[in-house]
Amino acid sequence: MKITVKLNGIIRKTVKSDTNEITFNFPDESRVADVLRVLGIPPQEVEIVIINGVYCSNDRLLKPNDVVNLFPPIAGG
Amino acid sequence: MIKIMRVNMSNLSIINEDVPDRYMNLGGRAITSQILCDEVDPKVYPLGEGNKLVIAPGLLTGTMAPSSGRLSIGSKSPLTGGIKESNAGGTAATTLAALGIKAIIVEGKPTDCQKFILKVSDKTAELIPADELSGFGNYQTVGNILSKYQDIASVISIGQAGEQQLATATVAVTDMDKKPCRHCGRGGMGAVMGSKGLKAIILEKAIKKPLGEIMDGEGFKVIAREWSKKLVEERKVLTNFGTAITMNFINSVGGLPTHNFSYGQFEGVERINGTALAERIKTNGGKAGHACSPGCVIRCSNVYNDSQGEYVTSGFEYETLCLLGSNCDIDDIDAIARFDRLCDDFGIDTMEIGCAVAVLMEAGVIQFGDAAGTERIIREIAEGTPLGRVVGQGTAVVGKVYNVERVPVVKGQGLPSYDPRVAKGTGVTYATSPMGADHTAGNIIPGRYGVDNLKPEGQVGASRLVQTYTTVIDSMGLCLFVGAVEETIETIARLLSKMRGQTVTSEELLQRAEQTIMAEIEFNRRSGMTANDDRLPEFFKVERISSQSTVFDVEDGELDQIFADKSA
Repeated sequence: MKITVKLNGIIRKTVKSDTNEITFNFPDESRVADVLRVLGIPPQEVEIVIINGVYCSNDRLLKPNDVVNLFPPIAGG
Repeated sequence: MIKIMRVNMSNLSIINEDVPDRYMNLGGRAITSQILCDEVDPKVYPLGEGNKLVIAPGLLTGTMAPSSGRLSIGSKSPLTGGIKESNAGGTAATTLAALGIKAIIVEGKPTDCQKFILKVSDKTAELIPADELSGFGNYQTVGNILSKYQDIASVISIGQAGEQQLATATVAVTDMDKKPCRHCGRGGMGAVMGSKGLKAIILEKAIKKPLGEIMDGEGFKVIAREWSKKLVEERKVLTNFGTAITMNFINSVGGLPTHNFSYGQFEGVERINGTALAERIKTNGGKAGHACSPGCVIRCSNVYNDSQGEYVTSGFEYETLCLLGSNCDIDDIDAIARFDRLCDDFGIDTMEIGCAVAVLMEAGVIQFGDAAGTERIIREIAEGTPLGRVVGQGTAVVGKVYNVERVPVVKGQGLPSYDPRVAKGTGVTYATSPMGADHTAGNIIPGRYGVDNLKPEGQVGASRLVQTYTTVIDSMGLCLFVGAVEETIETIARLLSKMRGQTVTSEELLQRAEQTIMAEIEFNRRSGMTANDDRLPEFFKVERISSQSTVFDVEDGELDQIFADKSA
């Protein structure tokens, strides 16, 4: 299934991606944690996962065409 | 010897007083609010003789504690009509601590329109007539002062908005580059300073030191160093991208104020977000990772240049990019930077003006997305035109003058950049904080604090907890970005224990913070506010935000219970 991953802030550097957004094919039954593992992102670097606008945990099951937004620890201001 | 400096603008006297025992363990917001509760009748006219302006560094300011250089300014607010504490970074707080000043209380009111500078050194303090600065913006005021006086470490000043005593007027504080770009922005503190005839406070250089002795200096140093190291490591995102990094996140949860709080997502977000800002800064020779106050290890500030490489502004923040950007449908980052510069110069709160201009757009006075029109209106504030004066009095006044139904304010103060329908816990803070709609009073960022941001359950408890943590942080002179979490409070308790040579517990700090909040709530009650003032505007409760199809649905009865167990 096709999953879009958005890399925010320094997560893009960790992944060494040229773009802020990458699209992958993942096997069915994949979870957020699998995305982090495949992209080589240490879980502690991701404070917040937003899928289709909703806050999610790392064990959330992915669905086709999900947009997974990964955020490092941030503050407002 | 630490002191409280009392400056009376009616008779132009300056008296140094000993610090009463009951104020010794208070700093920042705790001391500004306590002095106001002790000395100001909550019913006074905010711009009259009876109101006071209290300026104070925090309890940890001047120590080795990281990011502890924030300055608190408190007064009865001309914007909300209630008590206010607004804080800023910059260089003033550490200088006040070095000068041994626990607080400056400015009281009274001059009989004519004369303007003064208060000049403070470690030996003397004097009021100097300064009519020649009248009508100057903050940049010109600071430039003039720095060319005239030697050895100045910091300048606190007001621009044209403060001189006009407008409710959106800020108090500017110079940063490490001596630019007046850090502001006590909210609640019209600049109007109160203007009403006192005080154009600027200038502080002479002094050797950095804390207010009072640290009993176990070595022990304190160890904890402070360890904490600094941790913050440097964990706040790299803020150092690299500034607060604007928040924009993508809030946009992705559907809570980014857009088109006067109509939508939670902005089409032009990629043009004004943290990445866009960082790239612009790099290309145009600006600076990221800029510390706004001495000893800041987070360094989230920045210097922003235009495409010719010329300086435009510093301290260009998320709230400005959103409220004068997405909330006005403006996606031109250079235009928003110019707004920021003009607001800093005139001494206007970018947040309040962003909300006010969007309401003006909703009224059809100018079109959404009109950057040139927005710039013209900001300039009119400084010029004192009738429209400028209306906008300069804030969002609520604009809504009233133009009969707009959707006016995003609580207690007369414009909402920050977290839509309360999506960030419901932050919405509870907007409604219930004695400060009015203020994200820095207790921001329940989605995904934190164990509550679901889209459900009403648990939001009141989370808001109360974080409002209390935040009050501790604001009383220490610490920047909020050290983190409003339990671990921070524990670290502060450990630092204070070393400072005093006796154990201070987290519980004591939280209790004292609750006392501060309750004193502020009581001040507001005596000023005439009721539970009806602890409410979000009606449209947030009936109009679904398109991004998440939800309303603000925390019950009024629940809001009223937030601090109920603490009330008398």
